[in-house]
Amino acid sequence: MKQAKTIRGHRKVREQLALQSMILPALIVLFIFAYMPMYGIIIAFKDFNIRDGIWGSAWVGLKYFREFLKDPNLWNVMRNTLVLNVLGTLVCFPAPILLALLINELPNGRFKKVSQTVSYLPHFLSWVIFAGLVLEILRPSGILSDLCVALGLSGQPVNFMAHGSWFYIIFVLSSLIKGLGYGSIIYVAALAGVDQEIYEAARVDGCTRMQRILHISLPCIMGTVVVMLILQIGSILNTGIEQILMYQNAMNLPFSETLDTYVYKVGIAQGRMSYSTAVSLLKSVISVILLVVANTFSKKVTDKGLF
Amino acid sequence: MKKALAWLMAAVMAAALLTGCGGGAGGPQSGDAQAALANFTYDPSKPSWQQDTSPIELEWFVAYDWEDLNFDPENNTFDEYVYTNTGVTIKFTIGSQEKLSVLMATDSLPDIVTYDAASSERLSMEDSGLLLPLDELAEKYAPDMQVPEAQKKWYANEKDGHWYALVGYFYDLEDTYARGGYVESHNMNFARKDIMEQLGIDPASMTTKEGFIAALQKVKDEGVTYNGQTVIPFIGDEVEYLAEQFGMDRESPDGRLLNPKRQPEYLEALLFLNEIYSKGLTTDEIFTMDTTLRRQLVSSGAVFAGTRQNYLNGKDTLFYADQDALMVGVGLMTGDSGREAIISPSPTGGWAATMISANCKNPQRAAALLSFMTQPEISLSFYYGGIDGYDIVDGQAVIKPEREAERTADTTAFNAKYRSNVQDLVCDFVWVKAYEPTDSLDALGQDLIAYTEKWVNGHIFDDKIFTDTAPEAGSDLAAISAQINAYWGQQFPMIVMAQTPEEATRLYNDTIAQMDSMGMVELDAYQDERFQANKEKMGLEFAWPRNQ
Repeated sequence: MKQAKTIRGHRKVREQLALQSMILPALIVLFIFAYMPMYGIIIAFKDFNIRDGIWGSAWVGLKYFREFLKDPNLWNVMRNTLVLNVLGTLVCFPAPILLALLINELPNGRFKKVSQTVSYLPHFLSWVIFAGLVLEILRPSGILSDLCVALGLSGQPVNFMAHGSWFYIIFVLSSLIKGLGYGSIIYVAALAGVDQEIYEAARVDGCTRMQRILHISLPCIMGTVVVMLILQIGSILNTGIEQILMYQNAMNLPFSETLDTYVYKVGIAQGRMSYSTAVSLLKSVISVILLVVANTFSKKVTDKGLF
Repeated sequence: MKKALAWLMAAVMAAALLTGCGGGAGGPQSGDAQAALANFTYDPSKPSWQQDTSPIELEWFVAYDWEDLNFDPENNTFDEYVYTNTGVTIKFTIGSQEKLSVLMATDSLPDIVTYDAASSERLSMEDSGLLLPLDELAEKYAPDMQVPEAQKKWYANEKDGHWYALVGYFYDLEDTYARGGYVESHNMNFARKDIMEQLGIDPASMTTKEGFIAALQKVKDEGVTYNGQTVIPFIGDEVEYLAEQFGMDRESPDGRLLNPKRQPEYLEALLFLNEIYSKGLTTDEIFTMDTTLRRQLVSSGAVFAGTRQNYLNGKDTLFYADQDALMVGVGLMTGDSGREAIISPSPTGGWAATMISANCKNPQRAAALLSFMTQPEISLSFYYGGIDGYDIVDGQAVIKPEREAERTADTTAFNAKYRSNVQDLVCDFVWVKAYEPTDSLDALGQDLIAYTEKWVNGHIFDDKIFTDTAPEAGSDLAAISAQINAYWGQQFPMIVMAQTPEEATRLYNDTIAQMDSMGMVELDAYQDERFQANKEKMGLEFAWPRNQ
C-alpha cells in the first residue's frame, strides 16, 4: 500500500517536473546567499584579520563568547533588549489583530479603503524621517511640550528625550504607530478567507456583532496569530538598529543600549568581525531554541504550530 | 507545447539569476595597462597629468556616507577642468565605514579610496598590502606632486617606511608659517555682540570663570529675547576644550602622555559645566540634540554664548540674516591654576586620506590625478569662486565680482556649477589661508582673524602627535576603548546634572575608577607607547610647548 503511494508520488513529480523546476531559481538564491556564506561563521571561533583571511586566521576557541558573557555592560544591554521586546510584544502584537478585526467589520466601501491606506502609510516612511518627526514633536519647543504647558500638566517646557526611562514608552509607541497598519495586512487577508456563510448562519441564529468577532473571526485567524506569535518570540533578541540609533542620546543611553546597537558599536564599528559574529551566532542559537520551545508549547496547547 | 514552454521559462529564470550573480571588476591592472606601464617614460617637459591624457575611468570610493559627490564634466566647471587636463573620468562611489571594512575584507577596493587619515582602517590597509606606496608612485610617475615633506614623514608607515596617503587639511606648523598661512582653532568662546552691548557686558570680563558665568546670569535675569524666543545663555559640552583653557597639560614633565580625563583641570571643567547647569544657564537639550539642531538653534539667534567654533557654524547663517546679530570671539577663560592655556588647533594631522589601492587598474594615471589634485589652484578655487573665479592681487585671492554675485544670488546653483567636494577632500588649507583676501572680509571674517592673531597664534600645540594614538581596529584594546567611551557618554550628563559640586566630584571619581577597572590603565600605557613612537618619528624629545 505504502509502496504504491510512493510510486504514485514519484510519477506525479515526474509529470510535473517542468512546473516544479520553477522553484529552482529560488533554491539557488537561497543556497548562494543564505547557505554558502555560512562557512564564515567559523570566524566566531577565530581571531579574524584581513591579512590572513577566513582560513588563515588563528583559532581562538570560545574567546569571543567568553568576552561577551563577561562584559560588564551585558546585563544592562540584555535588560533593555528584553524589556523593549516584551513591552513591544504586549502592545504591538495584539494591536494589528484588533485593527484587522475592526477593519473587517467595516462595510466594503470608500471609508474602509481610505482608513486601510492611511494606516499603512507610516510604514513606508524610513526610520530616519519618522524618528525625525517624533524627535521634533518631543522637543521642549515641540507641540507635545506646548500642549502639556497649555493644559497645566507642566509648569515649564518638557524635554521628553532627556528622561531616560521614557525611552521605553517612546520606542514602543512609535513602533506601534509605524507598524500598526502594515502589520494588520496579514490578518485582514486571513479574515477575508473566512467563509461568509458562517457569519450569515450566526446572524440568523441571533449572534451579536461582538459574539461574531469572538466566536467566528478570532478562532478563524487563530492559526495565523499563533504562527506570528511564534515568529515574534523567535526574534525576541532583535530590536532593530536604525530606530534606536535615531532616538539614542547621552541621557537615555542606559535605557536605549540594546544588544544590536552595542554589538554594532563595540564590534562592527571597531572592525571586530570575530566578536560580532560570535554574538550574532549566540543570538541565533538562542532564537532557534526559543522558536522550537514556543512551537512545541503551542502545538501542545492549541494544536497549531509552525512545523 | 505547454511543457516545453514551462521548461523554457524555468531555464530562462535560472540563467538570468546566474548571470546576475556574475560580472564585477576586471581585477587589478588589466593587460593593456600593464603593457603601457612597462614602456612608460616620464617626459619632464610636461606635467605628470599630461603624460597620457587618453580617456580613462578611475573608480574612487569615498567612505563618508553623507558626502555628496558625482563627476559631471558637462555641467560642473571643476569636473570639466579635471577631465580636459587629465583625461580622467572619475566614477565616485559613496559608502559607510562598514562598507569600507567589507571592501577591505574581500580585497575589492577600487582604484582610489578616501577615508579618515586618523582611522585604524588606513593603517590596516597599509599593513595588509591593500595599497600602493604613494612615495614610489610619485617618484616614478608624478614628481610634481606638491606635498609638504612633513606629511610624508608623519604618514610614513612604521613597518615598511613607505608613504601611502595624501591627506587633506594637513598642517605642519613650520611649513604653514613659512608659506604665509596660519592655523585656526575650534576652541574659542563666542558671545553675541548685540546682546553684550544691550546689557553692558564687557567682553574682557568673560575671560574669567566668574565673569563668564556672571555674563550668562545677566542674560538669564534680563530675560533677553530674539525674534520672540527666549535666548538660552549658553550651549556647550566641550569639557576637554574648557580644560585646555584652564591650563591642562597633555605631557608630563618627564615626557609621558597624560590622559586628559585624569587631569585636575578636566574635573574643574566638569564642575564649571555643573555650575552652569545648576544655575539654569543652559538647557538639557545639550545632551539630546545633535550638531544640526545645535547649529539651527544658533542660527535662529536663540543662543547667547558657546565654546566650539565648528559647532557654532550657525553663527554665519545668523549674521547673513541679521548683520547686527554677530557672534564674536571673547577669548579664553583662565582657570584656578592661572596657567597659560595651550589649546588644540584645527587637527594638524589633517582629515581625509586619499590612497591608491593595489587593485588600481592604472597606477600611473591615478598618481598623476592625485598630483593634479595637489596643485594650489585646486584648493584655492574651492574657496575662492571656482576655476578662473579669482585674481591674485597683492598676494590675496580676490573673487571676481561676477562670480561673487552668482554665489550670493544662489549658493546651491553656484556650488553645483563651480565646486566639487573632492576639492575639499584633498584640500591643502595652508594655500587657502596664505592667499586669504583679508582686505575684503566681512565683519565675521575680520573678527575670526583678529581673534586668531590674539588668542590662537602661539597658544596651540601640534595635536597629531598626541591624538594619533588610537588602538588598531579589531584589537582587544579597540574594544576596551569603545566600551570606555560608551560608559563615559552615559556618565557625563549625570556628572553635569549632579545636584551639588560634591556629588559631581564623587560621581566623577567613581566613573574614573570604573573606567580603570574596564581597562583604561592598559589603554593609557598603550597610548603612551604610541605617543613616544610619534615623537621619535618627528625627532622630538618633548612635544608639549611648556616642556620644550
